[in-house]
Amino acid sequence: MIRIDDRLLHGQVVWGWINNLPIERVVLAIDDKNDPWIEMGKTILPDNIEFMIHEISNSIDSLNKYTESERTMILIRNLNDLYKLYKKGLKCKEVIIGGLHPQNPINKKIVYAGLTEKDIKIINELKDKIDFYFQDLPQNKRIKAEEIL
Amino acid sequence: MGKSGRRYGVGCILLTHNHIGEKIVESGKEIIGVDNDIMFVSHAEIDHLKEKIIDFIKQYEHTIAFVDFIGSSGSYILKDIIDSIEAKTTIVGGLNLPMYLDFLSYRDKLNINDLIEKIVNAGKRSIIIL
Repeated sequence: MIRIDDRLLHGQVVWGWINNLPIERVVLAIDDKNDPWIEMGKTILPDNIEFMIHEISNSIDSLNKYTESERTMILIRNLNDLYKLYKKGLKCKEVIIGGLHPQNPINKKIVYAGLTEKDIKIINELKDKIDFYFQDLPQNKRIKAEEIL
Repeated sequence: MGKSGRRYGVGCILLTHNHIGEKIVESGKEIIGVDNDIMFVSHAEIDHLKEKIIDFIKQYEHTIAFVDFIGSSGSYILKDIIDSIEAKTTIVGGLNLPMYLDFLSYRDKLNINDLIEKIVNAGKRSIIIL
């Protein structure tokens, strides 16, 4: 599964998703492997979860191995990073938007995921190839992006 | 007081100063989405809620009772309550949010001894200096 969340590894991701689903591996797809949030986030990751970093500049092949795996969560910070990965050849059927908190969203229909004009443009450009859903927790209803755009 | 549901498995009491327990339960609901089989009690309430605490504990095979620290006035009263009834209850001191979140995550997956170990480790590993 692919989740977009600008807070990366945080409580809902770890306790809400990873601990409640058969996830064995987290791959963080990020611009900079030295981002200081990574070390902080790893402190709440259970010991039995494999953790990998995929720098966006790297070859996409290593990431595409995991895009259809139900036991892997690929975590991406924002839609812009997803777009960069897509342009490099990311193969995926669906993306879950779990948390976006931009300063000036123009769409605030989903409380945990505000969207900028650029976000909406990216979703509209990719929606024929990728199904976009909003979902904060596994037990909560998925909302298809088209319903709120 | 919080909610109770089924009559088996592991129950959980949070006995704390003021509204710490209540707020931790609220936070757990926000992060994981569940708050069933939980009772929160503040120290100010405990004398009035002894019977309800006993009724709550008796619903479960085992109850984990979190206190904010062992040695708090509430922890002594809770210990007396537990010793007065035949029900398996473990008091765990030093409550923090990761301990409670691990309780919610693993209460249906681990046996009681492993669950307690998991909770205690979650509390310890969350104390970090950046």
